[in-house]
Amino acid sequence: MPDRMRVAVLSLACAALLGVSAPAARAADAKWGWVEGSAGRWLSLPERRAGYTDNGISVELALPPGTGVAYERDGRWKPSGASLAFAVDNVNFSGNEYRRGEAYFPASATFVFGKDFLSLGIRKRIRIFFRELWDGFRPSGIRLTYAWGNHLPVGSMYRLWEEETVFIVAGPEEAGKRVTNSRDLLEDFRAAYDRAPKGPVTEVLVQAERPRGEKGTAHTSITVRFPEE
Amino acid sequence: MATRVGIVILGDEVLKGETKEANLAFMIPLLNEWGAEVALCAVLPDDVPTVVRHLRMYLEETDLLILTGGIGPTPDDITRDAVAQVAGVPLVLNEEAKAALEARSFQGGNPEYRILMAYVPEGAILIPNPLSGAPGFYIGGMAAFPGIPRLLQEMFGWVKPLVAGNRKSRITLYSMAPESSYAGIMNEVMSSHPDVGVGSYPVNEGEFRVRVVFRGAGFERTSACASQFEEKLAGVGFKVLRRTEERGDDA
Repeated sequence: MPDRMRVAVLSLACAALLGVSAPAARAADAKWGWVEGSAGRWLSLPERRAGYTDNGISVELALPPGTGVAYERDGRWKPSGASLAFAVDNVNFSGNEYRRGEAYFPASATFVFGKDFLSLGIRKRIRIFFRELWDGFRPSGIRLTYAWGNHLPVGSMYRLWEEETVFIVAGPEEAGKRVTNSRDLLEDFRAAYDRAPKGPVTEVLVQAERPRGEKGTAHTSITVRFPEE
Repeated sequence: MATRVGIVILGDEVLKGETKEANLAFMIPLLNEWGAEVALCAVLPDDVPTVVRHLRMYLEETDLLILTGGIGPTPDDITRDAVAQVAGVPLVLNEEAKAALEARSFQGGNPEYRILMAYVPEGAILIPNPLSGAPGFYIGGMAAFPGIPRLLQEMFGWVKPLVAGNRKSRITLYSMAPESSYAGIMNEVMSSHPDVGVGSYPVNEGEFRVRVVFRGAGFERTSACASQFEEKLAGVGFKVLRRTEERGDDA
């Protein structure tokens, strides 16, 4: 085959491949790497609508008791500003924010510093492993979770797991409102661990759940933007 | 429908510091939630002429006056006398109230004095008291409730149909800006949005220094006013760190 013919055939083949794969690639890209799963161990998925962008996610949920959803995205982001907008009309009164495995937040966003760990020692790590085996595995690394609380007052900050600090950014008295928070991840990390993070944000996790035993459907809306626009 | 509501606390015990007033904190959020506009609050002494004078004045400025305290059986309980004078009617024994009181006996209570609580201004509508039987009453734009918080809280829902209206939209911005940094900005946004009420309240605890509250009849308009404030605040170097939005009934 003459060279020019080969080039032409190859070009046609490439064009055909591109033509076929471009819509598929665009469809995959439309999620910008976000992966959906169920939150918690026994929860089924709620009615939901999600919109994805390169720097965030927006979800609208109707959560009957016994449902939950989680959206995860891996990446590498310099810790900076993040904007979190939550709207929740019904909190989880059965949730206990202080107890691992019972902190059922009606809306939360977690920023994971996957290259950063606390020095806990092998025994502690083994204990955490077995606890997570029961309560559900958490992303590894230090985590900052911003949550709509069920009982705690707005502004509460506490260590839920050794490597997870929770900031209550809205509370039960605000049910029915839309609450937007502008957070500086770097400053919050410093406030929680008294030092700067050793690495970037490697994962973002957006969750909503409504445990069995709650009464009525909760309507939740979560919009997370990072870095903040 | 009443929209402008006044609250009058009656009792020397509050003015003399014998009792800590605890009902306003309960009533005001509820009235706002129900769509009423709380236009005034006052504490008056146990003196009939003073109370009558003030009630007449307040009635000119409000659609409904909520009175708490002073409807018990002792001589310092003067609310029913004052309300009867303002309404221009005598106090009469209300048979329904009498029956409600007689249905509950109190150990050691003196029926002769207890029955005084069944005297209400002629033509008044009773406000049921499911706990003690001693009713409140409503007449001429005045609703009288007991001052005991437990009783008031149990009876207060009676007012809701009288005051129900369109709840306003409310947007609150939280920041670390000192009040003086945005006093001028407040003036500007209040001028460009005269239909939106704007208030600045220092917060002395937590993550923020101040909160600025915007209240308006339309959500979009209220939101636009808050956003204009937010933009201008950014112009002087301060960021809004938290924003809460509560849609009113008209939204």
